[in-house]
Amino acid sequence: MFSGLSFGQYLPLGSVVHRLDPRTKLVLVLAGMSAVFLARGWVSLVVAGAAVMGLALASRVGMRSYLRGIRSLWLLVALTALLQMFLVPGTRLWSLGALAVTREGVAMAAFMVARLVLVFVLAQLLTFTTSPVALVDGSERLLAPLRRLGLPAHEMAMVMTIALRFIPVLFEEADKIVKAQVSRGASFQAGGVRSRLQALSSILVPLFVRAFQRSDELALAMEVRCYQGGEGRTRMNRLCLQADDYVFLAAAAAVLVVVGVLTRT
Amino acid sequence: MAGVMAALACCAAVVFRWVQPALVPFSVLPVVALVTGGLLRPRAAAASMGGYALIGLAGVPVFASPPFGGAVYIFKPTFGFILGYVAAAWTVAQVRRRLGLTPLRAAVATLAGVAALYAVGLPYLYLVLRVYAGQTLDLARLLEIGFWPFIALDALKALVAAALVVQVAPRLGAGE
Repeated sequence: MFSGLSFGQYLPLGSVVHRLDPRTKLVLVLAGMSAVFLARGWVSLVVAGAAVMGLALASRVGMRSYLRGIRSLWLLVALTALLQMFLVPGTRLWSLGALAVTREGVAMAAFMVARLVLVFVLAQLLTFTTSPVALVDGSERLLAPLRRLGLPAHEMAMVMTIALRFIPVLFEEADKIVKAQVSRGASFQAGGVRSRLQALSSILVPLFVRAFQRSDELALAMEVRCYQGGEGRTRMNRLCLQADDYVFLAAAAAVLVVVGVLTRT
Repeated sequence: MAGVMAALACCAAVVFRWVQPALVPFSVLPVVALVTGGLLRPRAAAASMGGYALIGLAGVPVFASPPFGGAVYIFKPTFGFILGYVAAAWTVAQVRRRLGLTPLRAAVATLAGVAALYAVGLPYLYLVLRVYAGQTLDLARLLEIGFWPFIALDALKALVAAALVVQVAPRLGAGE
């Protein structure tokens, strides 16, 4: 069903943004989100928004994909808008019984919605333009300094990479077990909650056991090859910041400063 | 080392929510989180659920509700419960190691795990809703949307998880 690692939301398009170093993209997204949340008043939000939209356009991912990606969040956005409209006190525009829509409320609602959509677009941008493996790699490098504080950055990255590889394997395993149980007459669709739970455990128990066997084998294989964690390991693909990365980082810093100054005044 | 490796496997096992909808009418993920805690050492259990959360954030569709993955998921009010799985798995592992392995004790451990799940999930729900609503909610309302509708089913899932732990652990040798 899922062979290979191509599933997920990553869209390989080869734009400038795609080619950026994953670390740069993580920093850009964090900076962008801070700018959007820092913004007070429309001027600063427009500056932050223009930067976010510029980045989104440069990624060459269609706006439709962005909107589709946040489809499930529209309800929250709508809820936010409604709450703001009714709950912010101010001049009444029109009222519905005890509820009143105020001018300030509508303005606040529009501001909050713009802010949320921008933040969602940024989060989407990260997942659209960066493959999971690159993201893992980038976050490992970014978090590496925290190793001194006891954060197992390399180990976490290793966990994620291997888990990614294990997903299709365990799929196959689960498929085999289901078929094996069905061939012995197990039925998963019929019966009440109780019998379904029992049927479920006839899959879960062997699946867990197989998963542990697999991982024991893998751990042994890695230890035999002298793997002992991140210390002193070299890598096949070294991350290296290019000119583009510096340009984007500088732009992000500039936007943050401008937004910061605008909110102060 | 071996503990970490085992953790990954569980982390991926979680993914079989893809095959699960045909089998049972509810999400089996809490069960998996609790079983993970029941079988692994605390650190490994937490790492495995943490890895799961991060894989989901990196865009692999492993989460239970749309959009299933991607960094936007942080803004879903229910993301706290995903983080809660980390706490839940860790707690179950801690309690289980202290108490040992009888069905009743395993059940105590998994129920403690459910408590940890809510201890992380509810505050997150509160904070996110606060961002959206722009104001505070009262506690009763919060419990009404995030706690009462689910707690009975989750307690049941804890018992199922305990039963699974008791069945799987001996098959893994020492179960440690």
